[in-house]
Amino acid sequence: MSCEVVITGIGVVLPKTRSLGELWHQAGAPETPIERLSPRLTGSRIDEDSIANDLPPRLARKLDEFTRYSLVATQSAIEDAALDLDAIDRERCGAFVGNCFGGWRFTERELRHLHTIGPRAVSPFQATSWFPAAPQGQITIVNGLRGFSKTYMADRMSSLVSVASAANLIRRGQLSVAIAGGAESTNTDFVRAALEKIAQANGEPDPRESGFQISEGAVYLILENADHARARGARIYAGVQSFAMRNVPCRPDQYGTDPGVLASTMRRVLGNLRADIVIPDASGLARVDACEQAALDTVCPTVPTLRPKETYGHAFGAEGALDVAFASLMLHRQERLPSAPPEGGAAPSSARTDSARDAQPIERILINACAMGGGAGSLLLTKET
Amino acid sequence: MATSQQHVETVVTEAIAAYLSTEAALIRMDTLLDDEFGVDSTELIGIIVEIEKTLGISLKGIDYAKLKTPEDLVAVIMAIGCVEEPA
Repeated sequence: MSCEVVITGIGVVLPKTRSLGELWHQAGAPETPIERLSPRLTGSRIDEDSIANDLPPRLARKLDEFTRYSLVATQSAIEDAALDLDAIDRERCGAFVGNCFGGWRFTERELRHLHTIGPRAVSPFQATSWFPAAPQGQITIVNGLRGFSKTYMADRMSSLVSVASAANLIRRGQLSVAIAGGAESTNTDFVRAALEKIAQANGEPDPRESGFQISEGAVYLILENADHARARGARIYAGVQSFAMRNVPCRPDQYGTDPGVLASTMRRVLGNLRADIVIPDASGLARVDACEQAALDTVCPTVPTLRPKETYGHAFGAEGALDVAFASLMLHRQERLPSAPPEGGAAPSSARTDSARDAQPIERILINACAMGGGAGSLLLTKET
Repeated sequence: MATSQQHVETVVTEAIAAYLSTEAALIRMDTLLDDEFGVDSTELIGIIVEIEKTLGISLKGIDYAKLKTPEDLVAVIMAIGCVEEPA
């Protein structure tokens, strides 16, 4: 079959992970970067020294960490795709970003300056560094992109939506190439304070024992019109087949627990097709995962699931794109991710795990994601032939 | 007064160089900050705040749009006339 939109490049900046080789092996490593971040929260964080020399200091000074991660991951994706930006029509290339929290690292520091020194001590870049569309702006400026671009905020679904939206615009002929993915910086007091409430709000009696773990970083993909990619001889990881999302509102600090919502998005993207692997939302929250399990039992009862996000925790704005990256690598390599349950971390979620190491070809991978407030989405990736 | 101006010139040059992550030797008094170094209005504010902190002065109320060169910055600082000599 021929896919209209294909993935030709992947770039990552994640805890202890800068390359695709590290990404693949980290998924099966017995030791994960997961650690205790606060008395009520576990997860992983980026050692910022790992990207300290990747951006000019003059530029880096203006940016929050989530934008820095974005620029570095974007550059990696462009290099991975061997995409010569001078050889493409930049009017037909855009940037699509998923993000939830914006730039709280920068903001926290400047708020401290404001209250301890005074208004003149606040960086003039506060205004442009904190807002969630900052990575989109910088990616387009740095790379000279002039095509339609957009930022999406949909909790842990954000970058599944950004990838799907980019694919949709390519499919409609509005763009030829897109840089799509997402970024998050969660290693801040403000964000951690907010995230510490989530487990309890979703029915976990003891947040210290919850499987809800957080991460941060950036994951970006190069999406192309398939003909455009083939014409330049690009290596193709996977095809972006279809996407569906629904929102059945619930409390803004809770995830939906109606299995029918996720089941309907899964059915819609699959149609009569069968997925070979499902990468579930796997929130780590027992009540929410039980809901997803019920949806999986209804729509994909015999399909093995893999939960590579357990390696890092939830990367929020980058999370959907990270699952797309894992799925793309599996489809391209025709090999299932190595899986090693984390030791010493929180208990795995109740979403079913399957070692799934059979030798069957991998034709399709279904990815689920959920958002607080009742959002649910599913994306189907296919093997490119 | 000559010493004060020299001190101000040094502070201005070093603030610009530090903010732009470049060498102070590359900053001339007649360097066009926008044309030669691409300094935008937000960066200019940052440079001015650094100068304020170093010299212990306030440059509130000056017309930032007229500050095209380090020389312009030095001139407005000297016009304030309250820069103390370093000990």
